[in-house]
Amino acid sequence: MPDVLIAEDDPAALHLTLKALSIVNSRIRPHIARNGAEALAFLRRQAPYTGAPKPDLIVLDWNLPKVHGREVPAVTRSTDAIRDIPIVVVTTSDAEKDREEAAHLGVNEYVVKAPHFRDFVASVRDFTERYLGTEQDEE
Amino acid sequence: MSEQTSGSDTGQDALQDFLQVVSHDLGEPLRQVISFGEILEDEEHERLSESGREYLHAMIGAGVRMRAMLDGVLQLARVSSRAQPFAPCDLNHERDAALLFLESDIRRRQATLNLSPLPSVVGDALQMRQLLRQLIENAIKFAKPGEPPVIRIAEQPSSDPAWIEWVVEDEGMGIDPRYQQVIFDVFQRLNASEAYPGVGVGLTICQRICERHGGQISAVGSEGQGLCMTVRLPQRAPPGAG
Amino acid sequence: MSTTTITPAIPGIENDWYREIVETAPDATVMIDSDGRIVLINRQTEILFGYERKELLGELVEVLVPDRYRGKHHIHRDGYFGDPNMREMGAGLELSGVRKDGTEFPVEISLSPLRTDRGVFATAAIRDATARRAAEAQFKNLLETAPDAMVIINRQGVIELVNAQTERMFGYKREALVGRPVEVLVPETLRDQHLAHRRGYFVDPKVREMGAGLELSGRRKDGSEFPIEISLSPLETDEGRLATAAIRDITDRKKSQEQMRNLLETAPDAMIIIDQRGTIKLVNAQTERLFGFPRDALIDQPVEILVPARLHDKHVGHRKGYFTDPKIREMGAGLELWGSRQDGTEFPIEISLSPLDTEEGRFATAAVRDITNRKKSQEQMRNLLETAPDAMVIIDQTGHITLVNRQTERLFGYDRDELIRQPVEILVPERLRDRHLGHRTGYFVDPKVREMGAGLELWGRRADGSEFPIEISLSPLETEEGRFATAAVRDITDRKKAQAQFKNLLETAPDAMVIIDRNGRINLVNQQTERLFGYTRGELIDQPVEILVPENLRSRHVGHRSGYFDDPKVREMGAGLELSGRRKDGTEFPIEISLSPLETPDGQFATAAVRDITERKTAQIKLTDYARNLEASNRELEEFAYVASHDLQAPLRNIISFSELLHDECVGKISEDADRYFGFIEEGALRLQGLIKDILEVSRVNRMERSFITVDTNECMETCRLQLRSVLEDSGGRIDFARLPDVKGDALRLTQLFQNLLNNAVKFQRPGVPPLVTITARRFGEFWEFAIADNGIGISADECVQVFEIFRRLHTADEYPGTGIGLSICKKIVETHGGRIWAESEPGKGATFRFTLPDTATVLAPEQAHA
Repeated sequence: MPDVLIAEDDPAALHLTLKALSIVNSRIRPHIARNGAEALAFLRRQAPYTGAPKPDLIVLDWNLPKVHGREVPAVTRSTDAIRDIPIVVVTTSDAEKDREEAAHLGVNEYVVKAPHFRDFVASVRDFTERYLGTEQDEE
Repeated sequence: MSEQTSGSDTGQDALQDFLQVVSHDLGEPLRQVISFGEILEDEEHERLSESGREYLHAMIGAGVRMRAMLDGVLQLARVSSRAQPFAPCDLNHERDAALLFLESDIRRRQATLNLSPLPSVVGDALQMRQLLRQLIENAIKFAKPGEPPVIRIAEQPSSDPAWIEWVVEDEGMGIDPRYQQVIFDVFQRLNASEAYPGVGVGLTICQRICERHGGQISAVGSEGQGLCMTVRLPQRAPPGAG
Repeated sequence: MSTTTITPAIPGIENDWYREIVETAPDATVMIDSDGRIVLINRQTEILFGYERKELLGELVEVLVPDRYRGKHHIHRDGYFGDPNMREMGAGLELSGVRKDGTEFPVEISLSPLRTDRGVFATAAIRDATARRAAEAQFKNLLETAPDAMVIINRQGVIELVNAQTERMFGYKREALVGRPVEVLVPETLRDQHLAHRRGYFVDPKVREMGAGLELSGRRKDGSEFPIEISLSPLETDEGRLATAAIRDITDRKKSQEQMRNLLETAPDAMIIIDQRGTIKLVNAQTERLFGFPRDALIDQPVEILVPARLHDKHVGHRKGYFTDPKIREMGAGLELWGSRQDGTEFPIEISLSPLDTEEGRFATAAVRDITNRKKSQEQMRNLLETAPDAMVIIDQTGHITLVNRQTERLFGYDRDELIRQPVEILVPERLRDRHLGHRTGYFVDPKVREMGAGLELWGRRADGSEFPIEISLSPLETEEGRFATAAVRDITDRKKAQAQFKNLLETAPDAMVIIDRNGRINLVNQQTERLFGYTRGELIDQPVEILVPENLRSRHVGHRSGYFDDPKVREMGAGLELSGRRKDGTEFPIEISLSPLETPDGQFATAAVRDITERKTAQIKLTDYARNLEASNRELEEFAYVASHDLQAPLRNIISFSELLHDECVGKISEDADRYFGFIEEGALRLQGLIKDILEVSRVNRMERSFITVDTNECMETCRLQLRSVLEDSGGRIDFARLPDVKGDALRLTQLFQNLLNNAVKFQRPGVPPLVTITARRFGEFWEFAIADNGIGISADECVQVFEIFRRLHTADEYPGTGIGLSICKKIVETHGGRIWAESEPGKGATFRFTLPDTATVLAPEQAHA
């Protein structure tokens, strides 16, 4: 069962992401961070995440409060134990600046949240299959 | 107007930032409305009454429209924020590129294109392409219902040698001469019906591009008599530009 | 053995009674005839010589005489019989006997003739003189080893015995003295007198100790005389009563006594020597002068004659005490004493005592000094000391305290008496005493005035052992009695505390603080200074402040600085010049300085608060660029805002209307999940509405007309407080502000500004902590700087910048509601007024928002208002 860390502050957006993930892969075990600080704590297994698994994928909102989303790839890519975790930025902002920065920090993919849910599900399916394989693959 | 031509200008950055933030901050709740609307439509279809389904549909539609308006504003902003330095550019080349982009539309609508050589100008090639594309797209879009669009693109002799002029002319629905100015204003949609999608930033963008190059754009036509869009650009780049 | 068997008949005498007498005699008795034959012996003879009676009877008496004398003995014997008379034992020769076993032993013999019809016999009583000789030898030995000349005379005044010392002392040979009258040793002029004394002595002989009495003189063989001292003791002997005189030559002592007397006379002080009974034995002329007594009226008088009557009893006690434990007590090392003159007047004295051990026993020497004058000047000085504000301690060269004032008593917790004559180190903490000793000694070597605070941090020690920081100024004090040092001691506990607080304050100041003295030397800096200029504290202290000034400006700065001290007053930050600082690495940077004079007990100082305005300058430059560049896109921005707020209204209204209709349609029909989805839709719609309202707000501010009037910011505040009343009541919070200034601006916008900031201050509150918001304002050049400080959650340094960005959401939506556009509107409003706004905060420590607004008199440049 793949562990996916979802860093998202907006409850509605989180709900949409969770729903989309459950539609594309029912075996995914989601872990939720409500801001950048929580995401880093999870990855570093700091309290209260001392027993946290190493995620197989990080789904990251870019504009996170407290600690900005950019810190997550920055830390992940510079820490040996978690360097290889794929990171997909999922954001409403399609600012060129953000795209460039994300790419520079070693983010695997930059996905703009589609207003239409179907489109969103399609893009989520696309990257989960790329990084986690399909449910059929696992079985 | 003293033009800012570099995309990294502070003011432009600020504008761009502002728009990004607006786009993001408005985009998120907007997506919320649209996406959950769609999920409801999917999952609760059976439980909703007929009118309930209509309201839901209308709500999603309003969200989508709002999203489109936001995108339009952003596009508009990009006229200045994504501007390139001026350089000599061949308008024929840019016209062909624009047509390539619109190829599927042209084929679908069986449009007729009458092309004659265009001059070269000093300017932002991409924006010239964008200008041409927008004008051609409009010409296709506003053709008379049921009739294939007929479009002419040609240079036009100028009375002043310092200026060059070219036109994109169609035989479509035309406009009421009263609105010849108004159509360039943002979000002005004279044809409010859903038959004409888009939120009406296209001509505003065209106007901005022309203004940025020190030129003008004007519309001449009457209802049912087609429309002639005339672009007038200075021979040389405006001082300080490029 | 029987006494009856072998008694030969002695012709011519009645055998029985004579034999009887002989037997009972205590001595060995031997009777010989004129031929020297033994005719009778007694039992003691047998015992003494070891012969049996029959072995001796009829033998020549020489059998009892040692060999070496035997040959000549008969001559003595014949001589005796030629003129037989009684001769006493011991009168004469030293004789020896020889026992049967051949051993010899000293004997004493007395002879007596016995005349009969049959001729003359001689009876010899023989006594073993061994013991006597030994005693005599011992005695002679004793005499010889005695340190003094010993002369033994008999009743007739004839010298019987002298020792070697006598020979030496008087220049006679022993033989020349023995047998002569003792007066040979007495000066001729005194001989008659001596004769009488001598006779008197034998009448009532007793031991008379040396020196107990007269000064005597001896006479040497050469006729010279010399002072002697004699002690006499009677000596009872078999030969009758003798007198032993021990004679000591006291020439040297007399000489040294003379010297001492001379010494006494030349001493500057009155010198008095008393014996153990307190009797005055010696005084000098100074004593006469000082006390007004003639010498004769003092000698042999009790010393209390010189002490005031009221102190007699006490003095007697002291005196006796002194003799039980006599030691040198120096002048001034003691109590204040009083002397009494013959006329009864009293005067203050100082006494030093020393014991004087002589052959005549222990004496005490007292040096007495009149200290009337000193007392007077001391009195004056003491009065002076008492008026001094500081604790004053005067010490002598040995470091002993001679004078203190009341302040000293108070400061150190000692009574005066506990301090006087004590080493000054009693006032110094133990751990520092050794060092102090060194300092003190050094000070007397090179004494000079050292002012308060000119030097080290010092510590005092109270009687209870507690320590406290002091400051000392020293000055040497030359008096008749020598050099003293006066120390003025000041307790600087409070000042230290204040200084510590001050330093603390300095450290907590957000700006680099530099304190300089009149000469421009850096006296104190805080950590921020170190950080800002790259110097360590140690590298800055005592350096000219120009070290922090760019080289090309240094000379000018010196002028400014001196000028400042001529007319020191508070000059606020930003009020005036744009200045530059210079780091240790030589780089320069723009600074802003506010100056304030600092009056301290140590003089005039100036405090400079230095703020690095690099960032602000950069920001200003950026802002200027921004403003200029923005002008170009302003139209688009405004247009956008307008479009967004108007054109977006239409679809927004649709969304809201349709969602409301849908809501009514859905209630109770859709699933629980769907209810939540619907909640999200409604929430999204509300957020859209809020955002668009904010954008509208921004566009309004942008298009604000500049029609500034005088605005009373107190009124703005009151309006806000009224609006926040219910929030404050719910949370128990408070908004405090003192009288705020009037500014130039748009009243409505300014109220909006205050409202937004206060909303924030109250909103971002730590859970459970009632919000406390304080608003202050201070003059800042032509502007007023307002500060709105809260006790809320605070924000990080990064966030201090970000908060003003439009739509920035620093907190998750569910924690703190709001779109976050409020602060960007605030920024817009302040900038429209030509001011600027910034935030200072640390997470958890509350936040302070500062902004500037123009004073009513300020003329705003067009571009200033446009920014």
